[in-house]
Amino acid sequence: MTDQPQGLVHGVIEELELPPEPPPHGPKVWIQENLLSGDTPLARAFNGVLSFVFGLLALNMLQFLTSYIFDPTRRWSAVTFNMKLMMVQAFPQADLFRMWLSVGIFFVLVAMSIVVWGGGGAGGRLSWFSVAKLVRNVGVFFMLLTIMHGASAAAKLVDLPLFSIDSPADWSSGRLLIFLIGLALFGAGFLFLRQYGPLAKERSVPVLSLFVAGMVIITVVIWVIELPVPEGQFGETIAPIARTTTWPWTILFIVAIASYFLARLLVQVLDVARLKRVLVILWVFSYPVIIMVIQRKPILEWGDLLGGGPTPFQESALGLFILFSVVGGAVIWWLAWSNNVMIGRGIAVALGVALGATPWFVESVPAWTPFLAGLAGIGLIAGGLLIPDGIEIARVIGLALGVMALLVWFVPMLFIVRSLLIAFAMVAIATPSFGGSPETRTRVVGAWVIVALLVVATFVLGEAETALEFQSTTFLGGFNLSILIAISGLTLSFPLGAVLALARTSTMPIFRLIATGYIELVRSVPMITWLFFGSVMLPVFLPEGIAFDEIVRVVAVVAIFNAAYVAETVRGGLQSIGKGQYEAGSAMGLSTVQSTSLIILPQAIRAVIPALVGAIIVSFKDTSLVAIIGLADVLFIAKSFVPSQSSPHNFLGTQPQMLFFIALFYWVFTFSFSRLSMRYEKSIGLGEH
Amino acid sequence: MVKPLEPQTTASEHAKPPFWRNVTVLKWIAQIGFLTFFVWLFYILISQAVSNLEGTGIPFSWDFLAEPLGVLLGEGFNTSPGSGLEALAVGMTNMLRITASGIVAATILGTIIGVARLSSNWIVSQVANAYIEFFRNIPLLVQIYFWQALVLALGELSADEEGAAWFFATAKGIAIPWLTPQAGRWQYVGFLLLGAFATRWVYKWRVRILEEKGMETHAASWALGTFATFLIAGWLVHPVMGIFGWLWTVLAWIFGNIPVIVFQLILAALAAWLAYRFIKNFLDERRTPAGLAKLTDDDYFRLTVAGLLGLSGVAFFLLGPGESTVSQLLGRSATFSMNWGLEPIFDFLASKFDFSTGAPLEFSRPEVVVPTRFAQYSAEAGRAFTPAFVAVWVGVTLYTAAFIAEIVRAGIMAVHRGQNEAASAVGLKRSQVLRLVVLPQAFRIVLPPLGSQYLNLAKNTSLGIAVAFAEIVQVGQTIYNQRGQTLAVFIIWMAFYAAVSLILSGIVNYYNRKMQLVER
Repeated sequence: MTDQPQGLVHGVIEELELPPEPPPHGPKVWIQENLLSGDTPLARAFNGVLSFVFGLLALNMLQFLTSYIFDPTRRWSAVTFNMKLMMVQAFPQADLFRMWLSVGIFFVLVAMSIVVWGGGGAGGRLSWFSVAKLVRNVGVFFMLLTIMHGASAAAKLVDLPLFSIDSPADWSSGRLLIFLIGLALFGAGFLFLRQYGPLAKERSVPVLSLFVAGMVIITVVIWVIELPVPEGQFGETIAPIARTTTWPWTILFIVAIASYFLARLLVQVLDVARLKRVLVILWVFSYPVIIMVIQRKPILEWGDLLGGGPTPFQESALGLFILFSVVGGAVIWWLAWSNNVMIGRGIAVALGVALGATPWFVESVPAWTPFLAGLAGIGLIAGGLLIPDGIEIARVIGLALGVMALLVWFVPMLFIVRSLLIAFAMVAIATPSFGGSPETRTRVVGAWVIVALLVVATFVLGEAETALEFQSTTFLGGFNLSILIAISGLTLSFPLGAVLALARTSTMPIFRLIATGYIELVRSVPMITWLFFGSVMLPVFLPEGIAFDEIVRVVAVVAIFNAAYVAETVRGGLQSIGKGQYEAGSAMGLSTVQSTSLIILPQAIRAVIPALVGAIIVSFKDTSLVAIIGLADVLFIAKSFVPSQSSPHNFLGTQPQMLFFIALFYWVFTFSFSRLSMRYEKSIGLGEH
Repeated sequence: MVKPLEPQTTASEHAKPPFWRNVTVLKWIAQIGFLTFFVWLFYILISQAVSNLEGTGIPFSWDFLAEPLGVLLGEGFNTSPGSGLEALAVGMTNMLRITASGIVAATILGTIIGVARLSSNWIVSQVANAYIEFFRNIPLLVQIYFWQALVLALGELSADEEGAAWFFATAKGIAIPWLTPQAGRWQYVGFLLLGAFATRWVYKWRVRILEEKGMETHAASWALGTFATFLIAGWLVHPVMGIFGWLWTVLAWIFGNIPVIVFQLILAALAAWLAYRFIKNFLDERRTPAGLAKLTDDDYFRLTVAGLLGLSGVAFFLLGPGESTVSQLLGRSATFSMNWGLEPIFDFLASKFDFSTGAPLEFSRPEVVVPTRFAQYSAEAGRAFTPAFVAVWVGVTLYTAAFIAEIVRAGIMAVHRGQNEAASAVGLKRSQVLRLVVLPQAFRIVLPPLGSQYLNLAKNTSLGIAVAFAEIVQVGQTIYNQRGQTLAVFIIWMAFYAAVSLILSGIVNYYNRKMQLVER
């Protein structure tokens, strides 16, 4: 929920799931040291009582859990039968391979990134000793899970008020199977430790191969395990745990493993630094491409690209792209290294004439726009002609483009042109700070072309009709929607949060005031009210004709909300950076923008990575709140859609167990994510002083 | 905006840069430009909203606050409120109830689990660990839904159970024995307030003796004893507090008859004085033996804003909302009934301190009554909690406790081991080490993150809307679904939550400051 991410909370957990180092001198000593410890007989007795009470409590909880899970009246097929519904909601069956493709792309990227960033020993190694211990303990857990079940009223081995164990004679075959698996695991781990204990401490196994083992186990499970099914119209009594997903998962696992080895080959052949760059670009593009192209299945026609509008360029996305990347690229090419003053004068005059004159010839603009534009145009021309210094001309051009970015909102034009102009202004304003040499020119111009391509592609893809046939308002739903909200919200909130943090720590009082007001206002009100704001009130504030989809509004609200928390976290990092860093930056001749973005921010963000990971986890949990405003995320489907099905299978009244499953589902994600991030923090040595 | 480097000059010849290259000037231009843009954007959005609302036929208004609503709320001190304001007040009290009791419960539970997590007993620390990892990794909303489903899955309340019992847990909610307040409760509370002051005084007195004479004075036991005395004595003698009833009556009369201009003048003077104090302190801080330090433009800005805020405060209180001084000078009567609400407050208090006798609180067991065909919990005996209340309360408490446990654990671990050893070395007993050395230091570390957890808990109560618990967000939504006043309701939400956050963080900051002083 709306938790402030606490570095304190997510940062300092030790690995304590496994029991302390087992006995070189037997379990008796271990029990004495860990369960009955104390200096005096009284303290030892007290500890014994504590152990007993808490042990009983733990067993009782486990019994509650197991009796809930194994209760014969549970219809767990409500989960397996509705897995597709919960993951992707109304996504058409015929196009489901698009979803698998999305997951596959993610797998491939993860596998390759592990190799490229982690090198040969990616993921670290685990000693055989720990592996065997893990296997043994999992075995014990499985056995406990099955033994502890006391729900059936039949004959009982142990029957105490607080917990009971029923006779194995009544066990169902599935339960017996789980018990036997547990027994086998326990036996294997136990015997291995007994036989090779000391030796196993020195030999180790890569963690990644354990992952592969996990994949194999999952594959076996989905191929083999079958669950009983409530009476339905198909007349089956037992069905596989995964009916339609067996082949896709198997293929995906194979692809993931294959791409891992492919990446190992590539690393040896190609330059690693270049591979890293390529992978970063792939990561950045993968998500929009997955959503806009792969999942949305847009109908693209050459006509849309070339346009067929009344005037050239007006509706031709390709034409606009070429125009902007050529003309804009030329301007940016000069701005990146403004050594030649004459070119600068030319650009300034041309831009000034265009900027100052255009609004005079456009109908239906507010009366003040031509004057402001004229003023900016004249200023730009005068500056371009009078200022002797190239870099100063570049700054004046940036200022005039800033005015233009404001003006475009009042001059009627296509939204795509408006967006391109604003994007151009932003890139052009930033360019002088990041240019400065002929070499940077190609890079900055390349960046601009990519930005222009992104803008144009977004519009082309966004306006194209989707070829999917679904019975809902949107093709997004289920867990896919949860992920979309989490990733898009977070991605947008990080830059906004960083800017807010800088503004709040800045010496400029008005910026500080606005940033502080924003952060405190957003943080003092719960997220759910902001979600209501987005879903109910945001349309009220927008002018007629401009309307956004509810999902877009929710993503915007999540971004705005998270930004305040990210800002507070980054502010902590900024305050930990010594003043010397700023001074060193300006001693090197860097401008404020340069030293902030190249020296201060990277260090500040690195210092607060644990807290930022905490923020990501919180944000992931927070996506469940959209269920309250009625978006069909995974929680909403599990809680409302599934328990209201009565045909072809009767799942009425399964709400508690669906919630149980969803709790487990979220838990697996958040828990493993927080453990992974702890591993990562340790590996880069954060949090150690 | 792009800012140029600070001009490079030598010490000998310091040429003042032209204004368009002066960093200070450029910064201010950028800021004022942005502010103008910001204000303008706000203006556009608000005017758009106003015109859009008018277009829908529901212009913005606050009328719903006074008009009858005709809705039934799930629970609260008044389930069929007569007006929008009353409905919102019910929602606010429900939210505050859960927040206050949840904070207390989560703190106790979280502290126990946090300490258990550090126990040398393996089972105890593993159970605590399991608790923490379980509860903090599942979204709170899922947990609340789960608790609701659990309560609703309890058996139905049947008519056979008619009568009193110690405990009921059914799909209608959970009912427990309760101390129901009676007529004399306000007098009793007043008496206990006096007792609190006396306790504080006794405690300080015993501590002073301890510090002066160096002897064990059992300050805590003395304080506890004093309060217990008041607690018991007050039960019998609370009617004497009725004397205060006269005092409240007199005060109410006085405040009812003081011209409103006096209040306005007092508040205006207060605003002016606060601004003056801020400016004076600010300048004093920058005064060195060599004279006033050079003020940066930021300093000037702070001074100007403080002055302007003070002035606008004065203007606000003198020309203020409603009946203003100006309108009075134009010939209205010099007295005005609404004296900042002081008169009604004291009138209310006076009506509660009325020499009424009898026990201030009455213990009663919950009871099932069958007024019609359906059984229900009696409203008079014991206390019944609705399933929604139970779900939200259990949800936020258990969830927050997991976070508090981690904070407590980190706080205790952050106290250096040397402190422990040093304390033992000077001969303190183990309990003394914990009470006098470790816990005070841990508390200081724990307090700021604890405060933010309290804020989270307060905000998380808003998830009650998911199970239709009648807290402020749910009530607000009911109102705007009926009246369409989304903007007004949203403003109320923001104001309420901002006020709660401010008060909570104010309390935490107060203790934080006190704790920081202990350090020296």
